[in-house]
Amino acid sequence: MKIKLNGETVEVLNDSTVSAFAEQVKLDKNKVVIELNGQLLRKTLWDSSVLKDGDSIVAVVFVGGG
Amino acid sequence: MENIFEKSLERYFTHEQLVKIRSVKVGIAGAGGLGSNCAMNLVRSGFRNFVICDFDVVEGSNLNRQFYFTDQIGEFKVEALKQNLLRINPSLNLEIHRKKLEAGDSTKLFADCDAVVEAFDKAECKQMIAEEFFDSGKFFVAASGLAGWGNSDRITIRRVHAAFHMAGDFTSEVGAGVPPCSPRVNIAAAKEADLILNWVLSR
Repeated sequence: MKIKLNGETVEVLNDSTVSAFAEQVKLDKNKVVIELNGQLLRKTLWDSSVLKDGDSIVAVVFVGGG
Repeated sequence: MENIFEKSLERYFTHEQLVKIRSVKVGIAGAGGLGSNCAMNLVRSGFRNFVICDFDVVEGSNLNRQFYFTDQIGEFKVEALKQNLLRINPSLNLEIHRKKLEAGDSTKLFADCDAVVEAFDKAECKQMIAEEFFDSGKFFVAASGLAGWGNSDRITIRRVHAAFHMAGDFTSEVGAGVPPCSPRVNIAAAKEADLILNWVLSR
């Protein structure tokens, strides 16, 4: 199935969880905030959230320094 | 009675604008390179009300980019920052907290703030507070990607949604050979402050 990540189409396995998807695209759970279909998805819910075809994820990635 | 700094702001802002700026309370999470400089910019812009939190003390290695001075080494950052900000405007309403923010703390600490600034160093801490304020209704600004030097036009604003903006180039992480330096850190901190000023004046 296909989902959108920050507007780009990405192929993922059917029934992937957000955690599995994050691993696939190398997003570190502890450094990313995710919006799934316009709603914040807290990292504690990534394991239990299953993606479906056409979902849209916005990932806000943080790098260190300040 | 209005102090000379506040009186002088009338040259730059209308009365109505100053009323808006002075009515807002800003929470600042971290008083390092981002937090200390963002606070300085906000104070110079007329903001009066702050809640500032940091656990750290001023070290010599901070002076390359943070709004502190040699004679403040060893002092708690929030205490030193309070002194420095009051030197700009003696009429500030500053609430300072000397503590390390853990998950869940910041929503309580900044409960009565209208806007919150993420000014942490570590990516994991930035993530923690961004999740807490993502849909809080408060105006939230964060920074990511400001290490090194050069290409400073790459430090831009990303609008995540109407109440969540980020400043940075989103890739330049502090590490070996890529130190945090004053110009790029200050650009990101100033952009965080400008986002808040613009938000307040656009309301």
